[in-house]
Order: sequence, then C-alpha cells, then structure tokens
Amino acid sequence: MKLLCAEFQNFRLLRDLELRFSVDPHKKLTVIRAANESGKTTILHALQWALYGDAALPGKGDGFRLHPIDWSAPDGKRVPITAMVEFELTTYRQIGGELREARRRYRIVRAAFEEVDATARRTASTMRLFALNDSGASPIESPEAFVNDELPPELREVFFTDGDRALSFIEADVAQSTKRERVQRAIRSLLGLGVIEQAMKHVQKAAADVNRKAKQVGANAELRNIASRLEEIDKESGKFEAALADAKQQFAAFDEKVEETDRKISAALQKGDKEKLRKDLEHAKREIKQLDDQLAAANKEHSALFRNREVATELLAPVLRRAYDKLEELHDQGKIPNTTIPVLQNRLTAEICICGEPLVPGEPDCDERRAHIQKLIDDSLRADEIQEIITDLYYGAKPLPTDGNSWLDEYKKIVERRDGLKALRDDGGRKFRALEIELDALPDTDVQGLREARRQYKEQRDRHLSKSSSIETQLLSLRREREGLNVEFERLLREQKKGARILAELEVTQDVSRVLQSAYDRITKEELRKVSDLMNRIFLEMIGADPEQGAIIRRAEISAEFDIKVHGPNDRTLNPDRDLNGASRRALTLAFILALTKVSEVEAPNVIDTPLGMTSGYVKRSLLRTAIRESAQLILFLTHDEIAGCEEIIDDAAGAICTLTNPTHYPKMLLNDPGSAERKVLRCSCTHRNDCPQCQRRTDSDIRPEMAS
Amino acid sequence: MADRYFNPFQAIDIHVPVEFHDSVSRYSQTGGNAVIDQSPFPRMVDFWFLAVCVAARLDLDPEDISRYATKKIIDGAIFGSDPWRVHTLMLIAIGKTGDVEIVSEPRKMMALVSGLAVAGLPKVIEMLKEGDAEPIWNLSDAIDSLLRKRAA
Amino acid sequence: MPLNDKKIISIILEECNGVEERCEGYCEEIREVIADILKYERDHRLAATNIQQKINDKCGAAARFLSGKLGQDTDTGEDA
Repeated sequence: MKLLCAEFQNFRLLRDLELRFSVDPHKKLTVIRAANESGKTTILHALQWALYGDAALPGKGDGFRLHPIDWSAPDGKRVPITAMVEFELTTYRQIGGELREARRRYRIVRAAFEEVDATARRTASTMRLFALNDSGASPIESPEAFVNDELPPELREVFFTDGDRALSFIEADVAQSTKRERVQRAIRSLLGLGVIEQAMKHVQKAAADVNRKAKQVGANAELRNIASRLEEIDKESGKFEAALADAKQQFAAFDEKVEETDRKISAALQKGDKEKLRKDLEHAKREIKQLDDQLAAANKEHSALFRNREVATELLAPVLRRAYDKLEELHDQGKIPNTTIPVLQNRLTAEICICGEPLVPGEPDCDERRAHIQKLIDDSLRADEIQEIITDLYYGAKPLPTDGNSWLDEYKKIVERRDGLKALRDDGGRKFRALEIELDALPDTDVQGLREARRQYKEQRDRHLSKSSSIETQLLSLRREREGLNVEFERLLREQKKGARILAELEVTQDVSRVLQSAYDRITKEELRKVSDLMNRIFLEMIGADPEQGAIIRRAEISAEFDIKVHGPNDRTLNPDRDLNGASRRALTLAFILALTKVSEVEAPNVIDTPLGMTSGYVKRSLLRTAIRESAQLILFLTHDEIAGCEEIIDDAAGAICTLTNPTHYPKMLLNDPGSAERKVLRCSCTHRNDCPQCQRRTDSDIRPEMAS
Repeated sequence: MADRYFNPFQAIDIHVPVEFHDSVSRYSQTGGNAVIDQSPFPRMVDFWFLAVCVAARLDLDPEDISRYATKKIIDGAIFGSDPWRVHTLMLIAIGKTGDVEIVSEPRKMMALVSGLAVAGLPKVIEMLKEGDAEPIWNLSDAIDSLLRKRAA
Repeated sequence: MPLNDKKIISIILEECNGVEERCEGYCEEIREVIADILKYERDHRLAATNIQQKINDKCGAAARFLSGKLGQDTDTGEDA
C-alpha cells in the first residue's frame, strides 16, 4: 500500500487541510515540515482515525475531543468531522504459473459529528470505502473487513510511529511476554503467517472429513476403529490446542500482572518502604519514651539535690562547725555523755562506792554515803532533760559538719547526665520527625499487600506455564499416535474396494498440509532470521558513528522467542530501554520496523512523527539516509531543527514537501501576521529550503524580550 | 541514741510570710506545678529549709517573723522523716545564739530558724530568677558558686 | 493477506517442489489447490464464505484427479 493523499476537516487543529504524499519510487520521501504545536501528531492521529476509527485514538478515543477547541457556536453546535485518505494497493495473483501485479486505488472516508460542549459527545463514526477508477468511485461493501485485511490493526504501530513516544516493541514498562507478543504479532501479520495458519486448519478439517468418509466405505471393523480413533484424536487435539492457546494467553496475562506489580513494588520501594518506616517510627518512639523516662529520673535526681543533706551541711558548714564545737566542749567537760545517773545507780546496787567504801544499807556510814549518792542522782535527774537532748544531738549530729564537696560532685554528674540524655533525646526527636515526614510523603502503597498479590500472580502464571507444558506433551503424544494410525489406516484403505478415492483424498490433504506447514516453518525460521539480520544491519548502520553507543553495542537480533535483543562486548545482553540512549532506541525501533516491512516485501508506508528528535550529526543523517533507503514510502513529520544538517539528503530523496504553520504562533514565533486568529493548521508549499510570508519564522535574534515573555 | 530519736518541732507549724508564699508554692512541685525545671523543690518545706541554710550561710541576721503576716506551709512533724534536719536546725540555733540550752526550747529555735528563712527566702527567689535558663539551672548555678566561694 | 501475497505465494510455490509426484501433473495440481485455498482464505476474510466446503471440494477434486490418473477411481459418482 502507498498513501496518495489525505484531507481533514475539523479534526482538532486540522480545520481544513489537504496533504499529498510522494509515490515516486525514486523519490520515496515526503517531508511535512512543521514546528511544535503545528499539527504533526494530530495528522498522525487523523490518518489512523481515518483507517482504524476511535480504537486508534489515544485512550481508544474515550474523552478525546476531536473538534477544534476554539470552535465558535455560530458555526453550529454539532461539528462535522471528516478524514479522507486515498491509497494505492498492489496485489499479486498467480495466473498460469506466473505472478501478475495489479494496482488499484481506493478512497476511505470517515466521518463523525461531535457536540460542542464539555462532554464533546461524538456519534459513532461511519466509514465508507470507494474503489477509484477512470469512470469515478464505486463504493465497496464491508469496508472494515477490507481495511482489516489490507492494513491489519496489529501493524498500526509498524506503519504509524510517534518517534517521541516510548517505543512499544522495546519499552521497559511492559512485561517481556507483552513485548514478545507485540513483536510476534507484527511479524506474523506482516509475514502472512495468520493466513497460512487458517488455511492449515481448514485443510486439517478437510482431512478429518475424509476420515469420517473412510468409516463408511466398507465392513472392515479395523478400518472403522482406526478411523474412529483418528476422529477422536482430531477432536482431542482440537480441544488441547484451544486449551493450550488459553493457557498461553493466561500465562501472558499473569506475566504482565507480575511485571506490573513488580513495577509498583519497586516504585513504592524507591520512595521508601512504608512498612519498614512504620516499624522504624515505632522503634524511634520507644527509644524516645525510654529517654524521656531516663530524663524524668535525672530531673528528679536534680530536684533532689535541693533537699538532700549535702546541700544543707555544705552550705551550713561554718555554722554547724561552730555549734558542734560547743557540743565537743561539753563532751570534753564530761557533760556528754550523760552517764552519771546510771553509774551512781549501779554503785548503789553493787553496795560499793567508786572509791571502794562499802554502801551497805542499814549501816550508819554506809547510809550516809548512800543518801549523798541519792542526792547526786536526784540533782542529775533535774538537769537530765537538757542533757538528754544535747547528748542525742551530740551523737546524732556528729556526721553533719563537713568540709566535703560532694554536692558539687553530684551536681556535676547530674549536669553531665542530663546534658547527655538531652542530646540523645534531641537526636531521637529529630529522627522521629524525619521518619514522620518521610512516611507522610509516601503514597499510600501497601507494599506488603503488593508482595502478596505478586506471589499469587506468579503462582497463577507458573500454574499456566506448567499446564502449557503438560498440554504440549499430550499433543505430541497424540500426534505420534496419529502418525502410527495413519500408516495403518492407509494400508487398510488400499485393501478396500472403495478405498482408493478416499486414500487419494487423504494424500491430497496431507500433501497440502505438508506444503503449508513447511512454508509456515520456513517463514517463521528463515524469514524471521532475515528480519533479524536486516534489523541488525540497519541498526548498526544508523548508530555506526555514534562513539558513545558504538563502544557498547555490538549487534541486535530478534530471538526465536521474538525478543528484540541488543548485545554488547563479549555478547553481554543489553537492556534496550536502559542501556541505550534515546537516539539508539529510536534507531532500533525504526530498524525493526523497516526490516520487517522490507523482508515481508510488503509495499507499505512508514509514517513517522519526529523521527530525528534526540539525534544529531552523523547519526541523524545516517538514520535518515537508511530509513529512506529501506522504506517503500517514507512520510516524515520534521521540525526545523530536525531538518537542519539533512538538507542535501532531503533534496535528493523527497518527492513531496510542504510546510505547516499554526497562525496562533504570531507574533511570538511567526514573523508575519497570517491573517487568521483561529487555531488551525495552514499549509504552504514551502520546502525545507525556503519560507514564504505565511510560514516565515523568527530566529532567536529576532525575538524581542517582550515577545519572549 | 539514734534509736531514741526526738523531734522537738513535732508540734510546731512552719510558716512563711504571706508575701513569699506564692513563690514558695510556685517553685515547689507540691504547689501544683509538676515541671521540675520550673519548680525545682520537691516540697515547700525543702524550699523553706534551703532558705534557712542560705541565710545561715550568708550570715544574715534572722528576721523577726512575728512582724510578718504568715501562712503555714506544713507542721513540724514533717521532720519526722528527716532526723538530720532536726539536728541541723538545732545546731543552727546553737551556732547562731551560742547557747546550748536553747535546745530545750523548740519554739525559740523555730522562731530563730524561721527568722533566718524569712531573711533567706528573697535570696533563694533571686537565685531562682537570676539567669537565662530555667529556675532549676539558675538555682543550681547559684548554689554552685556559693559553695565554691567557701571552697576558694 | 495481500500485504505479502507475492512473498507467501512464492514461498509456497517453492515448497510445492518438494511434493511427491504421485502421478503426472500431481505437483502442479497441488500448487493450484494451494493457490486457490489462499484465494478462498482471502475472500473469506473480506466476507464470510462457506470456506470449509470450498476447500473440501477442492481437495476432493484433486483426489479425483489423482485416483483418475492412477486408474483407481472406481466410483466417481459416489460423492458427487
């Protein structure tokens, strides 16, 4: 297919735009020059909408407004939106053992109405397809089936590429199985494997029908048994194949979920593990509580300093010393301790005086002495009250007078303890606050829950993988049994009277099946290898002169499992999404698309928006040159910056060039007033080398400061 | 003799001049303020006792407490739990009067030490307030320097 | 399918060379059967047809050709 021209009405910025594309095989390039916000991506969307409908719009068209944002009410409240694309198809038919080429032209027109309000409600679009010939346009029935066949939706990303978007065949954000599936789908579709598969199924069904017929041809019980068994095997195989496809699909779905959960976990963990943070916070809280308890105890000890004995005795040392000296004096005088009374009483009891005289009662001398002693005792008793207090005081207050410094020592210790604990407490508080802030900043992601979900997804995924393997083994065993039975079946048929015809039918269906199967195998193996080799060649050529990437990239390939792989030195596998720079990733995707289109020998357009962004110098030119060489029809939307440095290449290769301008860029970026204040894309026929009053842009030096603001 | 412990102040109430009562209460934890740094004294009697010590230390003359309107802070039974305080007060009385026999006159002793407390209270209040930090630190520093003066 | 008609057809035709020549003209017959089957598949994609019947008939016709050539076809009318 080649795109011939396109027209759009009221499709966002494209109020009324017509584009023509080059179909000259020697000038395969069409350049649409447009600055940012001048409709490049909109045209990419509009072309795809024309061919595939809302499904091709961002978000499958949900909430995606199509009418111009500045549509004014007087123009009507329902906006008619149309997109028209004319294209040419080349078909080949085998006529008399020769392949004949036929070219046909078609026009596809898609239209919808959209309400001008916040809902931007849109009617379901209608599509009409016309075959164009000299006499005019004849409508074609079931245009959807036609487009699906000519431009399979799975190839949309091969034909229409947004250079700035993450490149779907190699992007890191999807599961390996998804990327594999995308690459496989593109390859299968472009290499026509789906058609061969369908044909194989139908031929196998024809063979099964032959089996059934065989049961009716004769009375041979063995033949009937084998035919029945073959029929059963076919039925079983059919069921197993369906189950296998289902298991594989389930595996891919769960693999995607595992991958998605991994991404969520890793995103959450990158920001911080909430569970761990919570535990840390609890721990910090406990530490703070302990420190607070210790601080409270230290404070109490501090407070106790003002009621303890040391503060009093050390403050009072001079006073206490003075007073105590008085007590000492009394002690020295024998007035302390007050031991007179007990001693005298003891003497009276012992009836012998301290001096040795007897104190026996009843004897005149003794009685006199005893009376004297008793008087002494009585006198002492009178003075006893004071004596007792002083004696108590003398002994009780003995430790009080001091010259020590123990209060100062104790105070010093408490200061150190309180300061130490305070520092720890401040640290703890800061740590706690920091954790709180970190925790508050975290999205409310339940990492634990995600891990559990991941475990379950993985379990499911592995279950489906194991189911696939088991079904594959059963299928293999059925196939072997079938082969054995077939040999016997054919032998028995030969013996039957009516068996020859059936045998011939069986041979025909088997031969046809074999041809289809070997073609299928050849395409999957050989052609895939060709795509892989060509992709590698194109890719290396594109990035060949990039010293940064040249040093780490050795080759690229598509594996038998449909993975796009890049290898570095020593055949180390590189991750395209992480180890390659933007220019190389772009080059790899373009190389895959171009190689696939080329190997399939499909004549198809490659419409690419900003393919040269993030590239410069030799790599930019090399990328452009290679893309032109490998594509059947290359339509590029380029900014002025992308064009810079590639002018000569465009001179040589471009068969059509036009420039698009957004009039609202006046006066900031456009030099002249285009005479329209509407937001709509204007086209002029200016090439990459010239400007007209409509498209002439200000250079940086032209832009006055007040305009730049 | 310690087993025959005797508290002569058992039946005597301890008073402070009304004008100091609020401060005594404010800087004591039993005064309803539980923040230790703001209220360094565990009890009001501790504040009172320190005031006595400080006055004695600074050799201040006892004030005549009878000239003040006073307010009871607690009764003397409080010293039942701290015998060393009883001894200290008695020694202060002896030291200040030079008369040992004063020990047989608890009210006289109490009047003397209460007079010292009245003289000491404004000093201690000043110590609590003087400084940039919380009262507990101001007081600690003041006592520290008071003790060091003697040491020096 | 017409995306790569040329490619598929050329590969399939090449693969037909490996078919056993069960009778004179058999390989050519199979080549035509397959070319027609691919055409049926293409038509079927555009508008549903009774494709199974068409393929069964096509294979049946080739079988008749084969058994006829081999002189084994004793009951040609049976499945007409």
